[in-house]
Amino acid sequence: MIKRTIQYSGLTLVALLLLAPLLVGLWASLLPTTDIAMGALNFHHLSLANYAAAIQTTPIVRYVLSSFVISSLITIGQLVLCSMAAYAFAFIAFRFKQAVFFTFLVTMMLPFEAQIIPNFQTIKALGWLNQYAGMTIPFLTSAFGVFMLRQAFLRVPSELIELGHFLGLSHGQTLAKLVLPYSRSMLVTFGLYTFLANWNQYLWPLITTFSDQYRPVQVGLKQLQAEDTFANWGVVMATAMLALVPTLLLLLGGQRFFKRNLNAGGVKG
Amino acid sequence: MVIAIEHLTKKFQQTTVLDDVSVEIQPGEFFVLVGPSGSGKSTLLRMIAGLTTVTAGQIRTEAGDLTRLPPKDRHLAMVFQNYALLPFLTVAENVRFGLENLGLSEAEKTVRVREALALVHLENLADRRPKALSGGQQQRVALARALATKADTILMDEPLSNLDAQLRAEMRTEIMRLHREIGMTLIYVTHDQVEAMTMGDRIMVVEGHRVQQVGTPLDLYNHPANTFVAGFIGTPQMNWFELTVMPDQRHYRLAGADTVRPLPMPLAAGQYRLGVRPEHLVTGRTRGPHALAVTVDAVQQLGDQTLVFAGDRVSATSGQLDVFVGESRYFTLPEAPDHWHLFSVATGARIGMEAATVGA
Repeated sequence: MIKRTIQYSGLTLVALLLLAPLLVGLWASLLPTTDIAMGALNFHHLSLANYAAAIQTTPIVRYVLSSFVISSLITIGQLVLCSMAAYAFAFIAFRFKQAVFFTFLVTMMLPFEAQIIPNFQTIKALGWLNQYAGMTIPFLTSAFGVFMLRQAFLRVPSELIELGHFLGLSHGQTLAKLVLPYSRSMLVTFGLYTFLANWNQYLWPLITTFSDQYRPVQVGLKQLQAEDTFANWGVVMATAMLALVPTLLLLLGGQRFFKRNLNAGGVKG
Repeated sequence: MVIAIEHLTKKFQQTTVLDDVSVEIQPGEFFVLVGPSGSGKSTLLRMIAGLTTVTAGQIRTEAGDLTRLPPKDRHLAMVFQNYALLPFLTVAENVRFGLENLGLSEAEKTVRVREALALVHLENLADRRPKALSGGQQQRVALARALATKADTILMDEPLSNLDAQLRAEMRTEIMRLHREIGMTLIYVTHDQVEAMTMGDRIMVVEGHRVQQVGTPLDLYNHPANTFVAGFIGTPQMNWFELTVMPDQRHYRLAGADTVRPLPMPLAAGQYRLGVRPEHLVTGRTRGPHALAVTVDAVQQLGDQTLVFAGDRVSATSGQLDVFVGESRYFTLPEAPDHWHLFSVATGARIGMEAATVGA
């Protein structure tokens, strides 16, 4: 009993430490900027006025929509392309399979920062700067995704693959009717992970977008702070909170899949 | 549809997995492939299914040569050992899945699924997921999926090996009933000789990558082609004796014994391996010309019969026999020449009575 109390106290403390910036931000977003400037963080003037102001006076909704479009396109693209590649690596015998797969994995060791300049030049040459194309097409597939889905696909019992072969299913049918449904929870996890990772992209959109029309939310937030006229901290905090909403919804919705798959490696199924 | 298998051979690189198998499987036959694990029986089934390529030889039906056709063009259905049910589909959807790519209308599929589930008595579980079913019920779903295709040949790869003894007996009866009612050809792989004996119309015994014998259950039991089949078929196992027939062709001597005994029938002089079924080795108290003195090591009272063990021999007497461990008894070899199974010491092949007996 005592042990459990200590454990929970410890966990609560850590959780509070991690949550502190978020809670301060949430609190600040409900206060008028004048109060924040004076350091009067009390609850005399709590209101949603900053949220109304954020939506009316800043392009935050536009940013969120852009981010949503970009993250969704990338997620769909990765689910489709990575699962196809993973299927090939998991089930089809072809020459140099090991070598090709190894090459795929090697690209995971290459940091994104090292790829930025050549990617930027390519995108620029294609005329995709400041467009959705430039922000989505370079991310439509990933070695990590191929690797992760291949591992998931290898857990499909060989008898099921054999059944598909016996029934004369094509590779496409086997993928769509057997392998993907069998690996559904891993696909959801991977989809959520991809969506969130791309929702939180910063460096790439920062250098490839110049207008509010295409700017995603993380870069947009920075933009709001940077604008000279924009010293309204309450509104800045409100926009940040708004930017979090889709992420939180996804995390809450996908929680059970996340937990299942993060533990999946540990317990033999 | 007659399935003719001709000189079928499978090699993986240098290793021969199955060597020169030929057999003709008749329409409506319950054909059992039996053998110890690793014998090659599953490989043979998988070659018939089209899941494993053929190195040499042919598989033919009246419709033509199947040897190189993909599985779906062979008009077969298959029941896999671990059922191969899709966990994300319901029972009915699993059965329906087997009808993929058959070119059936949706309405026809629905009717077939309903009929197949009725055949295996699973109508009221149609909307369950496989996980919610017992092992036996999952096996029934796998059966229903094969039945729904209305293929006239169904292949089964050790379908009962994952079930406990009671369920296995139940499903054995069930499969035999379905076979009787529907009349499809069944090609059935098992490592369990009791299963083979009780279910098969004909049995092919495979061992060491070769066919040892093909025949009806009683053929195999009464006329085993070699020492392997003799030992493999029947429980408890065949008793073995090494014997030498004297030059007079009328007497024999058992290895390790000095006594010269009269033969029940004249035999050519020489060395033989003699196999005697436990029920033909009689336990008794009296000494006769064919009796061996033994000390009882163990007794199994099964109620309807009594098994008496002495050394590596066993005698089965029907009914309940009054005998105790440590007692001295006689095991008596049979008088009837039919109950003497003679094999070559060198090759293990059966020596037919016609070949061995000496014309009087």
